[in-house]
Amino acid sequence: MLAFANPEFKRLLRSKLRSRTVAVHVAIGVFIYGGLLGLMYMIKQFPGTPAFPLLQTFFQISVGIQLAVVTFYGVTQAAQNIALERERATYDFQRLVTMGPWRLALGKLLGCAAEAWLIALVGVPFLLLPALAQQIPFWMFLEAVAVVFVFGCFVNAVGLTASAIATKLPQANGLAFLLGLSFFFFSGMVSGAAGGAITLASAWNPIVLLYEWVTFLSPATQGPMPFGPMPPGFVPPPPAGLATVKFFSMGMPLFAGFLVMNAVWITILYAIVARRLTDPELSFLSIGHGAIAFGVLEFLLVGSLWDRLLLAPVAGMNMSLPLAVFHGASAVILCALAFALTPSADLLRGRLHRATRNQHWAVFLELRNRLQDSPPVRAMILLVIGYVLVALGLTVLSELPADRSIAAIALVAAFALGLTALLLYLQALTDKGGLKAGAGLLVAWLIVPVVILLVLERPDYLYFLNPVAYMIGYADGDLQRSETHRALKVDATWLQPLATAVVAGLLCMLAALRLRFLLDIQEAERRQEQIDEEDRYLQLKQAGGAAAMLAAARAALAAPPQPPAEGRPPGSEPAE
Amino acid sequence: MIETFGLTRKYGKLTAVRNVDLHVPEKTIYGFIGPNGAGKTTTLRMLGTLLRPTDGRILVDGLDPADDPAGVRRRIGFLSDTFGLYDDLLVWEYLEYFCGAHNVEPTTEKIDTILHLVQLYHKRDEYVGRLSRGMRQRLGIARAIVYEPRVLLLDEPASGLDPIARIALRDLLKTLRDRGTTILVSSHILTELSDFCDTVGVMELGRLIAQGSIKEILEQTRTQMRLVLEVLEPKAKAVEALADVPQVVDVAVVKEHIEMGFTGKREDLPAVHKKLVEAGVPVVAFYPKPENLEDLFLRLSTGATN
Repeated sequence: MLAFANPEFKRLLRSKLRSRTVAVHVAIGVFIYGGLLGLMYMIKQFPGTPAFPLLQTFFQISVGIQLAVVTFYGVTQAAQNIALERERATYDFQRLVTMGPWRLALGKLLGCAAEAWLIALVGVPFLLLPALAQQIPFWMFLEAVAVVFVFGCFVNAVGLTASAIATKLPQANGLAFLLGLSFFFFSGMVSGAAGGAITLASAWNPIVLLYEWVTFLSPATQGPMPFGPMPPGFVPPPPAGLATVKFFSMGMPLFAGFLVMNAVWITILYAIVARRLTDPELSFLSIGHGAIAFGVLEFLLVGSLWDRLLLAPVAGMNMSLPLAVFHGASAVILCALAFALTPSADLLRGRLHRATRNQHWAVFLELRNRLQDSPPVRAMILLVIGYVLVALGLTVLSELPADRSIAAIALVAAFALGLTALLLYLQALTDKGGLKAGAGLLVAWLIVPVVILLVLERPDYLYFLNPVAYMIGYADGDLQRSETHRALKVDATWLQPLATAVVAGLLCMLAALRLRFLLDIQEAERRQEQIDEEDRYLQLKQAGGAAAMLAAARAALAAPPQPPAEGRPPGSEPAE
Repeated sequence: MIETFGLTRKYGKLTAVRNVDLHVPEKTIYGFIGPNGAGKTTTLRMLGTLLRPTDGRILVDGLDPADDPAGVRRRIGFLSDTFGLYDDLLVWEYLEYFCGAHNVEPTTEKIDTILHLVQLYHKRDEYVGRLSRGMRQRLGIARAIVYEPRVLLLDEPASGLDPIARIALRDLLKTLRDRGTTILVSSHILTELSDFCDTVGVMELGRLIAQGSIKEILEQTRTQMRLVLEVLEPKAKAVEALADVPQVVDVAVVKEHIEMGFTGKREDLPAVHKKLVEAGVPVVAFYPKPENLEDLFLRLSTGATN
């Protein structure tokens, strides 16, 4: 009911669900679910078909269809939402409404994929049939509805975020796909390094978690296979309600984990959408929200890895893997936050406009001001400090060799700070596309050396150059064992962290010098402008005459620009 | 009602608005004039909280958008030349949405009153997408005033409208002003503003080069009066006679009459008239040329744009 009080949600329902559209989508839904049921019934009646639980199997497939509809149809609609508002020039008027960006974003989140929701909704009575026929427990029906709804919201949040970030409609769909893909990569990195532990993957990725949930939920995995006998050695997993994920040594029901993880990601994406609705020139996340997101993600990461981190060392086994996973995942989170906290080039130049010469370090290290256009460096330093403290704590607790972990911490910290400085430099260098250029450079840095070294058949050097390879080497305990290290007599443990720290330092200097350069140019322009104004006035005065006096009056009306430090009205100074 | 102090906005290296000190009195219509690219829209977008200023401060009804954007949004209605309408909604649904979005109870009575005011009641149950351009523009204004804002910011509201729609717009703005709304309207079509603006601001190259009532600015910036002399043929005799008057400059025959500049005072005019009559010039009419917003703009502007 609360949703129906949201004007944006109501508008989207009205726009998208006119009677004709409703009729068409209901017909499509009935055709899909009814057709499937009818088809399965016919197959069952077909002579020679092995017996299978019709309604159970129908339930499993129908949930899959619902999820497919809310995923593929829903994400497309969500990705179009804000991009279309921009194209139709309604975006500005939405930003002006007093109900605020958070309520506006909530309305969009719930209503942007109304047609997809409608098709999923038509399936609900069909899902109820197996429960009514007592072929599945009733809680399983409720859980299925909840999972489809929550996952739909997650997908909509991904689509909306893409829509809010993309500048044009065609970009939005592609970006939504890329965002979805990044969830797979991220969880792949976390879970893959942890030996493919499914609970870990699940805990980090709503999509993988969903797959797990559907697998556990499936009556097919709990009973006879629908179209054939169960394979030999097949052990059915526990029922969905009983499957657990480990979190700080506690067993959390998979369903609860699913809700929590989706809620976390939805909230982060929702914050980005609301921020973009507030002002598309601002950074993707405010510093406060960025810090909260970092804290929550680190908490979940540590909770997921807790058991493995505290395992007692076993002789002959490499136990560094969980810690390597923690460092690697933290690096991804910090790098993502470096992008999310960087303001637009225009806002950055605005901040410089209010500064005077030689204030470049003050601007470089500013944490926040009332116009929210501070560079992200100091915020990132604080986040990195948070990471370092947590990582050191885990290093001590895990009883693993501290030196290697500290080297990995140094690498992650330096990499995150270096990337932040690089993004700041690019924003100060270009009028537009600084973040895109930064993303391109980052990808190039991660891929190009790999390709070159693989072509040259010197993969060992990757430990010196590539942070991903370093983390893999760290996890495998390979950093001191490779052929190159033996030949060069160089321990790779500290080489890349130190080199990265030096590069990060240089990038910080470069960014600060770029700020200084812009401030110097600005100062010179101001002086030149003042000189021009004075010259013009003198010329007019010498020329005399009515026309000259008129021009002088005009010049007097158009007051020359004042240096920002002087004559500014009270309250317009940036506040720390 | 609206004040800005040193308002500045940069886009990359371009300074679109430079140190603008705006002063819009309460319950007046303020015309914002200037050529395309002068910085009018950027200024309006900053006032409307759609754009952050690079520098300077804005006060709308005493509130700074940087500190209280929601408070400022409650006080302003904004309309751009794109109108920003949802074609797939009915007219009343559209207004109901914006009422709700501005936390105002969307009663039928309220929506109908607004529709009557903008003369769209007969289109109440029509799809927005089926309205003509003039109607869409009026619906845009209805959207901007449906939650009764104290300030209206209108960016080129009359562009693309036919003369009848322009007259309707002018009357509507006067009605709103009389009801106590402060209106800031930008345009580069000067004739549409000159009839109803109480105050004007002239922008060029991102700077506010003049501000005040049209009369005030005309008087402030006038260095000579333009006079019109209508005489019977031949006009050469009149031109000859005028050459002897030291305060008369730039004499030119324009179609059926003679125009000239006059550097003297108004009180000196009877003497000129007397001289003409004494010289045997058959004077039909002799009067100061009336000046309007267009003259003011031409006088102040160099025509340069960003």
